Amino acid sequence: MEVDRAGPGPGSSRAKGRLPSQLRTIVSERCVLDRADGSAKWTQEGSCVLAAVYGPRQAKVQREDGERAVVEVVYKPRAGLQGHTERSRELDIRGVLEGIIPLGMHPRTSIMVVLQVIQDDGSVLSCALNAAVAALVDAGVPLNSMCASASCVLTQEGQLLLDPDSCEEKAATAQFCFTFPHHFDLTKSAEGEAVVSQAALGCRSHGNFKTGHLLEALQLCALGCQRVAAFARLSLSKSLPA
Amino acid sequence: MAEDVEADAFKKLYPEQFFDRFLSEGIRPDGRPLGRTRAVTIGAGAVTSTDGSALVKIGRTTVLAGVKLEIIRPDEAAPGAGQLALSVELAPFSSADYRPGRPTPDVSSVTEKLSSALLGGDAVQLAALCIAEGKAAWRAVLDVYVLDADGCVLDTALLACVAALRNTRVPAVRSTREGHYVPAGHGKGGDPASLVAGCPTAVTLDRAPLSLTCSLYGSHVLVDPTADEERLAECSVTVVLDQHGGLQGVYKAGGRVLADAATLVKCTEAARLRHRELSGLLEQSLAQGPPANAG
Repeated sequence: MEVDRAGPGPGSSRAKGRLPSQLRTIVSERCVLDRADGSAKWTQEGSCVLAAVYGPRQAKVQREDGERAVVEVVYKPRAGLQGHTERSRELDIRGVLEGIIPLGMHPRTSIMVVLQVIQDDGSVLSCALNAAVAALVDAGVPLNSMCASASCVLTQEGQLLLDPDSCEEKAATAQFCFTFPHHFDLTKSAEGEAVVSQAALGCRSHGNFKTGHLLEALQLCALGCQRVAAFARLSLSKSLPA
Repeated sequence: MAEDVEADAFKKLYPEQFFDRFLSEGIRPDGRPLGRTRAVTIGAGAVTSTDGSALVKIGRTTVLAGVKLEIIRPDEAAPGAGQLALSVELAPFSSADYRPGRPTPDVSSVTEKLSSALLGGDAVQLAALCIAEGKAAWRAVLDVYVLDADGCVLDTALLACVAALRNTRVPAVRSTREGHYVPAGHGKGGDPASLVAGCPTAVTLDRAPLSLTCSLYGSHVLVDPTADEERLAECSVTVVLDQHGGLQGVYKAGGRVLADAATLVKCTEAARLRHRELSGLLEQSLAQGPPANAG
């Protein structure tokens, strides 16, 4: 067993035969917190994020906007204080959520989304975004469309791996995280087929890569988001009363 | 005079309609076509009290970057590498949105992307800043001051950082009798035999990462937006790349407009052209600028 080699750890699902374009097991729980308007816990095997939504409620006078709702995001890491990375992620998540919530519907209110990373094993930003959307649905905040997020990495051999764990992320040449809006097409089937838009709501890629890798990663993440969307639909329809 | 007041009032009350009037003609309020970037001025060696500095203006956005070097004992985890400490500050007079107290998340976002561009992709060779393995290395403290935030702060800050690092002259190092390392030229003359050989004279930049931000507004892509345009569009794509055309970062902020593959490629190509333009200007400015003070 080579533990010191860069690559997926011995206990990871990739070592057990997870394909490069296969997601990890997703578990989603709704209504986890009593006092929050909406909450959800999203687990992607090793990564777990708890999201709570408070709102739409009255905004503080300094922060209110007369014409639309203000989205505030708080992202707390698993350990330590908030640093530049966390505040930067807050800004990204806020941008994505502002794209799916019809802000003009609730002027002078604030919608606060608090994200706490419980476990970090790679793809945490995607996990956090998925948790935030599930919590918004749980809170009953009106949404233009739902959105799903998936991450992938470019290994040193030039292969793209979907839903990486932390070992793969550390050993990667580049990391990509894409978020796509999705809706359900009831004309295709009674349950509704998840239709993921081909255009991204959010993108965060860094490392050393080429344009070709970026476009391939876009397609791979869109595929991943399709599965996340199908799972979200399943979990919602099971937990909500018929 | 009355027309100016009316135009300003229209801009404040109906910003989107005001902007759309210009877009329908194919230009922006400052007269630029949609694909044109603003004029760039690079002043290398602007501050004489530092080891390297640069004052960069892109349009009205002004950023001052300064590098100060100090000798430290390297970290045990990396005994053969120097350090780069980055800090970004927004001056109070830089924008009307400035609030005293906690720095805005924009500053954290710029700091994170700057450090990812300079350190993440091995742009700054930290191993080249080592003087004696395990005993002494250079630590470059890179301070970035945003003096005027008029859009594309990250692009200007990154250009200023690269220019300041290229402008930095690393002083020679002398070893004292006690075995400490001090920059040569400090204190008394000291005999030339105590000069440590093989020390770095400049901060090596393996790759020069430069970036370009484009705003997405409706179906238009506005290259190098001003602060007004950024605020209106609320959606932008920043592309960071190096001189070989390799991408180092693609960040899309804001979700109002979706970005498909074609838009991302368009932004990447615009960034590539901009990199070529900026590299040329950077070389020119470094060649004619005053060299930084030694020690």
